[in-house]
Amino acid sequence: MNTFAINGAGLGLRRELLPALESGVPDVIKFFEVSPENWIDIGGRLGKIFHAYTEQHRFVAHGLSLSIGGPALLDIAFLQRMKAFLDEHNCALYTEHLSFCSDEGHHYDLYPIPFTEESVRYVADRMRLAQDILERPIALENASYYVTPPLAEMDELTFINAVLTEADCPFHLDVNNIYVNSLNHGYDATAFLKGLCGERIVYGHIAGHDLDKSGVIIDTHGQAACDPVWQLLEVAYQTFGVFPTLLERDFNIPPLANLLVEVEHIASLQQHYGART
Amino acid sequence: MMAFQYMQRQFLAHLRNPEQQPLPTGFDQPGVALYTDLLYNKFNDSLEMCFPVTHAILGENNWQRLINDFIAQHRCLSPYYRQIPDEFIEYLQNKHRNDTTPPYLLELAHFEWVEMALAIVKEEQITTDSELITDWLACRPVFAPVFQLLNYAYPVQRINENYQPTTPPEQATHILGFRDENDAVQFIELNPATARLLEILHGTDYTVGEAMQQIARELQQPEPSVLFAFGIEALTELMQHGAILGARKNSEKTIMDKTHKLTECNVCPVHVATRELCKASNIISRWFAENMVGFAPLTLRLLIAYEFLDAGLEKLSGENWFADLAFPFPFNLLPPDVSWELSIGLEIIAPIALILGLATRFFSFSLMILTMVAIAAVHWPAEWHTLAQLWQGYAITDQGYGNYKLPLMYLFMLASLLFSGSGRLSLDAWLANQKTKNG
Repeated sequence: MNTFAINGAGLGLRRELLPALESGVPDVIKFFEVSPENWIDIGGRLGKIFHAYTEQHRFVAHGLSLSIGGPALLDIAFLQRMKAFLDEHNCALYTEHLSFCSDEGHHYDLYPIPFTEESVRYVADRMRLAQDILERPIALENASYYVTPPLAEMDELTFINAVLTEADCPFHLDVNNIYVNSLNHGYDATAFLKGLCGERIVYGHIAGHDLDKSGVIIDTHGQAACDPVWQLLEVAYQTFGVFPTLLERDFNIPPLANLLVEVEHIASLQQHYGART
Repeated sequence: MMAFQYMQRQFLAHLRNPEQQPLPTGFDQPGVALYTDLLYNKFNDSLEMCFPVTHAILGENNWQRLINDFIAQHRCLSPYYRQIPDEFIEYLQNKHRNDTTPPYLLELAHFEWVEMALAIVKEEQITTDSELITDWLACRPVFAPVFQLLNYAYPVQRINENYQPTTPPEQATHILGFRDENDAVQFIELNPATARLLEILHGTDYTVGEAMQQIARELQQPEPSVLFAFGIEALTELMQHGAILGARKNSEKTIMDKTHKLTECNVCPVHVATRELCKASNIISRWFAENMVGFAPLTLRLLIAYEFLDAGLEKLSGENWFADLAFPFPFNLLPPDVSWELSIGLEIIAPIALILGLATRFFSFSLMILTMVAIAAVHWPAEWHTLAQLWQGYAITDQGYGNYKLPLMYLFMLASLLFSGSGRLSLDAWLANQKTKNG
């Protein structure tokens, strides 16, 4: 059940979009999403603009640097700063990637956690600690990855479900990541999707991707979402009911009007599959 | 450490330094190479954007080598992607310099970085309330809330592909960076004296006048006032740019500054002479304003003390003549003996306090009451019909119309003391000084 104070379709707020949004936010955008890491401790002109947005609109915080599966200790100071940010901007939801991005140094990229029994318990322990510090749940997102880490004792689907169950946390479903991984690692995206803990879904992402010269599909959020990904979103709505869903676009950002077509598409699918029961 | 964590650490070490750190077994090589590229591109995108001049000067090959070394050697502690440039500056500061990098590399990169940093940094403090500057020397300026003095050995703002000095010039480069009221970052090049002036004003509680005296001492310039015009001009210019917002409120105003804005004409002898005269008079008034204002109440205190002490001592040795007087309310309620004793007491104690400068405002006020009673009871005309008649009482000797001139003068002098307090040479000032010293 979606207990969070957002509904409908949303759009990732990028600095590049600010001029186009100046004249007003279109009705179809029910909420925005930002990476808190890009806005924490930002002052000056940008800081003022951001404050004006969070005062008037609902925001989801989609984190990058928590490194929930990382080998270094959880960064408590960072979590406390994050809590202050989530409170200050009244964020409806905080989500993070089921991945790791650092040891003692940050790489600002997302890497897959080895799919082992040990790592499941490790991530779940850290999730409990992090959620305690934040005094709110963290929704975990299925991440994309380009190498299967060694030591695997289970497949990705089992791993994701095990972490969600063990940590007893909400799920942030990214259908594009399922699609990208299914192509790069050769599995059936629809079957994978249907196998996930659907009852934990609180939030969704849809995005586009690029093809690397090596033949690997890269989760760049640099293109419009393709048809198979839209179909996955439909399957998700059909199977699990409708959940608030965001269009991610981080690179190669087109005019706002083009993005709105995709946001409207999300909204129309949500309307079509009706309110979740 | 759990096995999977050991593997994670080896994996990250390899990504940072693929040539020297072996890839842990079990990984698919092309996929890992993709991650290596992604890592380089992440760092490179951020750094190229922040350091375009450094990038251009180094050239593509040296730039790539530097970025790869940064990724391999440095650990980015910041969880914020946007702070990769901050981490890069830290890396350059700790990096052992080699001959292939230009000597100004760190300074140039720092100057490029600081522009981005000033644009987004949160204001340190809430902007202090400021008021219009009416008196430059006496004021403490309020600076823009984001305000950074930058000192470089190299003229970083001029370095580009065509100008690459190999040794630092004799004169260091001083630049003020700040965020103006429109939140735009501005840089202003400063001469060394202005840079020092801003450093003092930004770092201490000095007024502009005090800061300039400090600079005069440092420059061993015996006459600080010659620096004043230059300093005020520099600050005025900074104010026009928005680096100075105004004067701090409640700052002491002890100096009467007059910045004469004359139409400049260096040819006409009258103008030149007028300007020189004004300069001289400015210097003299500034000297008095800075050094003598605090002594102004002293002469008044001494004169009044003498006059009242004289009257008090005279009463002490004379007969009580208060019995015949009609005192105004409420003093008419006191028996004449009590009033007599009271007035003698006050006329002896208050003058001594005034000489010492102790509780000057209190005793001035008390003497004002006493003087008003005296005017009402003794010096006011018994009766008057027109203002012209009353005016005839404004005299030293009584011609039948009263003689309130002298006490009225005392009254006004006492009012002046009531307003000013005792000034610099006084017990009051000494006590206040002790109090601030002891916190």
